[in-house]
Order: sequence, then C-alpha cells, then structure tokens
Amino acid sequence: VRRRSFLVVLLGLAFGARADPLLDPITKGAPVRQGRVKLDMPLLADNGNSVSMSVSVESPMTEADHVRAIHLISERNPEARMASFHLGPRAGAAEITSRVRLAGSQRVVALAEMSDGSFWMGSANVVVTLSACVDELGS
Amino acid sequence: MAARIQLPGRARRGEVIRVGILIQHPMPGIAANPFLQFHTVALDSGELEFSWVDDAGQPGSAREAIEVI
Repeated sequence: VRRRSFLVVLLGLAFGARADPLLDPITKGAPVRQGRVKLDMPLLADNGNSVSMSVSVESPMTEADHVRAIHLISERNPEARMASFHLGPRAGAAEITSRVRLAGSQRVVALAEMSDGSFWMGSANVVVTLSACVDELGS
Repeated sequence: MAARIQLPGRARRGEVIRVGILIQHPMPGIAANPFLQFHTVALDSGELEFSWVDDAGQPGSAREAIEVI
C-alpha cells in the first residue's frame, strides 16, 4: 500500500510535464495555463463509486467573454475524459456540481475552454480508499 | 429513468438561478444516479425542459415550471 501511494505521488508530480497525451485531444496542442479554474473534491473519498465534485471558473459569462466548456480529466480511470460540460453566456455562472467515479487515488484535472480560445486548468488530488471499476484496473 | 429536479419556483428576471437534477440510473458513465447542478439566467416564466440519453442510447426527459417576476 505504501509503495502504491508513493507511485501515485510520482505520477502526480510527472503529470504537469506529461499532461499532453491527456489534454491534447481537447486542446489540439494549444497552451494550457494554471488558474481561473477551481476544482473542489474531497481529499479523502471512502468510496470511489461516487465522489463529489464541484468546479467553478472565473468568468463574467458575457457574450464577449465566457466559458465554452469545462472538461474533467482523470489520469487513472479507464475513460480519461470523465465529462465535458458545455456552457455559454446563458448559463450566467460557470459553476458545475456533480459526482464522479474514480478508479483509485489520483489527480483530477478540470480544463476550461474560454470563448477567446484559451485554456485554463485547475486540479485536485483525491485519495480513494475503495476504488470504483476495480476489475478494469488490471493491476 | 425517474428524475428529481431542484429549481427555485420563482425568480427575478435576469437572476442567475441554480438548477439541479438527479436521475435514477444504475450505472451510466459519470456515476450511478447521476447528479448535476448548474446555473442559468431566468428570463421568462415557463418550463425548463431536461433531456438526456443513457449509455445504452435510451432517452429520458423531465420538465419543471418556473415563474419569473
């Protein structure tokens, strides 16, 4: 168990530098900046089948300046792209609350796509004591 | 697929309101019994329509009324 959590920490550290394979399909290689996105998840989740998630993006949500989409990306789930929320000025506020499945302890990334084409990200580290999708982990 | 919707019954025109929906479903992609909370601007009285499709392609829908003053 200790070894696994050490590995997770290493993965977490490496994620910033190696984020491209997970983010590229969405960003098409555009630069991603840290900030403007706040991802709230519990530090510790007893059950990976349902983990609360709240994401908010700083944006006036006007016609000229709004959030087009918020993507939730997992580094360990069988499906890396957990969810994509499409928004517009009609939403009034760029805030989404939901619950997600997590196949183990990991760092979750929220990637916001702005109306000017820029990308911003925030992340959260979650320790999961009982993982979801255990049969698909293959380890 | 039954659903429960959280919506203020009444809102002021232009107010940003919080909308929540909980769908009873055993195991779609994001989590079992998916719950989503988001925002929208209240513009006119009427019904908000919700529609969704599960991972087997099965559609579902729900409606909830709101009064805008």
